[in-house]
Amino acid sequence: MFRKFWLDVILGTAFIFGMMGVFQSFTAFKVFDVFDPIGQAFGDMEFTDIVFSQLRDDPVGDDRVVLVNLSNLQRGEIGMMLQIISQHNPAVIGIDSFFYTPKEDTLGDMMLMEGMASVEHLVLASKLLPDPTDPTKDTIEYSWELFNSFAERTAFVNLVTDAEVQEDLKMCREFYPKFDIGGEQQIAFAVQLASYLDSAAAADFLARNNETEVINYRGNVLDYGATKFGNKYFALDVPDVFGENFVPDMIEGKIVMFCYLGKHLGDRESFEDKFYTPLNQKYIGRAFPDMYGGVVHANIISMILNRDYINSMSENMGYLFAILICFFNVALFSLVYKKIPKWYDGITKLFQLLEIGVLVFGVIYILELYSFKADIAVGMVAVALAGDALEVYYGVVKNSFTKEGRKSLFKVDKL
Amino acid sequence: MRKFISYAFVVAMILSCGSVSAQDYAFRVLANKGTNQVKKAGAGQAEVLKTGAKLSSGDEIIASDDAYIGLMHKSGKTTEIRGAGTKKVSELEKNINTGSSSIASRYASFVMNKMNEEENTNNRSRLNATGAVSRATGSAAINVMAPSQADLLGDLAILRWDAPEGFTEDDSYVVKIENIFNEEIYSEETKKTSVALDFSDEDLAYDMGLYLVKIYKKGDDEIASGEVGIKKVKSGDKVEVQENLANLKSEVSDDSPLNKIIYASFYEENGLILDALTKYEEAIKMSPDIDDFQELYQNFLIKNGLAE
Repeated sequence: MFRKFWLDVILGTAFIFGMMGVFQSFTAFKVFDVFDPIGQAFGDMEFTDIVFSQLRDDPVGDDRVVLVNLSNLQRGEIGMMLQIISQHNPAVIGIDSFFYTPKEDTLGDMMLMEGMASVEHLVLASKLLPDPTDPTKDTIEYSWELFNSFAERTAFVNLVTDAEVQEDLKMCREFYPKFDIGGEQQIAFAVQLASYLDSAAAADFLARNNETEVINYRGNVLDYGATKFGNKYFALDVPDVFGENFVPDMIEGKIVMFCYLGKHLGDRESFEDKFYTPLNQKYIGRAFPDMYGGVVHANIISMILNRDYINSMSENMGYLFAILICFFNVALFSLVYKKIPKWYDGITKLFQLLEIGVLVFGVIYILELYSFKADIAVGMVAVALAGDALEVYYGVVKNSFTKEGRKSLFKVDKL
Repeated sequence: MRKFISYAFVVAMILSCGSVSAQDYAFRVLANKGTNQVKKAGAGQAEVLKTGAKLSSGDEIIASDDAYIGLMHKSGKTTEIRGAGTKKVSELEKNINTGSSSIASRYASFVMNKMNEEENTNNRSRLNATGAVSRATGSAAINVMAPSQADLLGDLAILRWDAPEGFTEDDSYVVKIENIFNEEIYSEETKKTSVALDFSDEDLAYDMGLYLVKIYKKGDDEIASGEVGIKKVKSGDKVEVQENLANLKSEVSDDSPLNKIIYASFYEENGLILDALTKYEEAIKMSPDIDDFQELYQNFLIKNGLAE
């Protein structure tokens, strides 16, 4: 009897995972997508987004990173801004922009070069172009070589998103800290910039050796409420720089990043280089992108300097957790099914609701307290399916394999 | 007595070290949008609010209409000011919550807020967006051949603009110069399509040296140019350029058209577009018949995105 019970529990668990597999193979063909607006809306959402966007304690601002808006300036004007900023001795200046080819406006190019030459430590952006199938064909794209010659280092600015081109809508949660191209290790832009302020922190971060890292978002820059934490970094707009309307000590010894922050600070109409992030106040459904790419890099820098990383659960751990929690549910529900069958539906549904609530709170709690991102999506689906799927297992599958069960299907009792 | 003095000295040193190491401000300005000012405690006049500036408890922030100011408290917590008004720093300090609430209470209040969220079913209050765009009729109707932001090393700036469509000989222009607080400091009426502004003139004397120039059609402010921001280079700025200019002046006089072209090239090389433009204008005025000067000037304008 005891062995039979545990055999049922094991087979019941296997049946639930089988159902999940069948369901997934159906949805892989996206046949239900057209009738599934809720699934579409949830598709881009993770439970942990609620923590970032709604539940986190207000993080403190970071005065070690200064963002300078490139707006839609010409190269010559960018050169002038570089000269103005560099005279206040920043630890490093990074330019989060590409200047691929020389322009007919040679004066502008010359002014930009003059500006770059005035910077003691300059980091320029590069772009990884990995071949989807053949790593030997991976390449890397840089600004025009004459500009590049002024850079002390180059670093890649790619972020992990589902966008196929820069103009696509994009959600950014992760990034590659380093990437191997042709046997040569390339370093991410934010990691490179952070290394100028705290080389040990950057080295520690790289030593984690994770292929990708989850970004521990801290906040934004003048975003008119697009996120809950809209004001966490020093930011200078074009007139602030040209009019020198800033206090020089905010630049000295800091990481300065020239990046696009809209046509002007607080611009909500420019979407070039703008991302959805987990900080977005509207964490589900349709929303505007909330953060410019430069600010995403700034958030990564803060995470590295504060050694405030987010650890995440591996995919295999997620599956193991799903199997264990499913097994526990099936054992409990089997007990209810056999001992108090009249109470089965009510008790299992109530327990599932409670369990999902506890799991969601657990994920939030663990992320907030231990900076650990637990990906238990498969486990949650298993919990949600356990009650009804087990009924199908006992009522249909098991009965089909017993003579008595098959017989009762065709025997109609008098009412 | 000697012992007492030495103890007193040590105590005074410790106290003074303590006061130095403590944060000597209430807030720092993280970001600053708009023409905002700060009135320091005890000061008679307000001054321009700068990004990175430190604000003390007795200070007052005077925010302009379109203000958006990001502030970081000494504890690292942040706050912001949006829209016009005067805010006392001490009041802002009171609103900073330096404590931290438990995640359970934050989760509970999040759930409560969601539960109490009411859907807006009143369509009258849902008509804020339109399916259209707006275009200001007179915006940049007058095209000024000058960059929107420029440094000026010399005293003279010549601004030239194209006459807008439909302009007749009877019409005239008004050139207005404002300071960065949008207070008018100079105005001039002209029938010509250029104006020479002498910034050494007493009428234009202004400590900050930041000017906003705009040209309007007289009697119709809707027809206007874009704003040209001019920053007078001070004696301590661009020192190398000023030294090189002094050397140039010692070798080349500024009295012939050709020499003015040399000066124009010097200014252009050093990114002083408005000075260069002024020298080209002066050279052409002195020798209007020399086509080469006209051609050089045209190339200069095209190269710097001031003409097509």
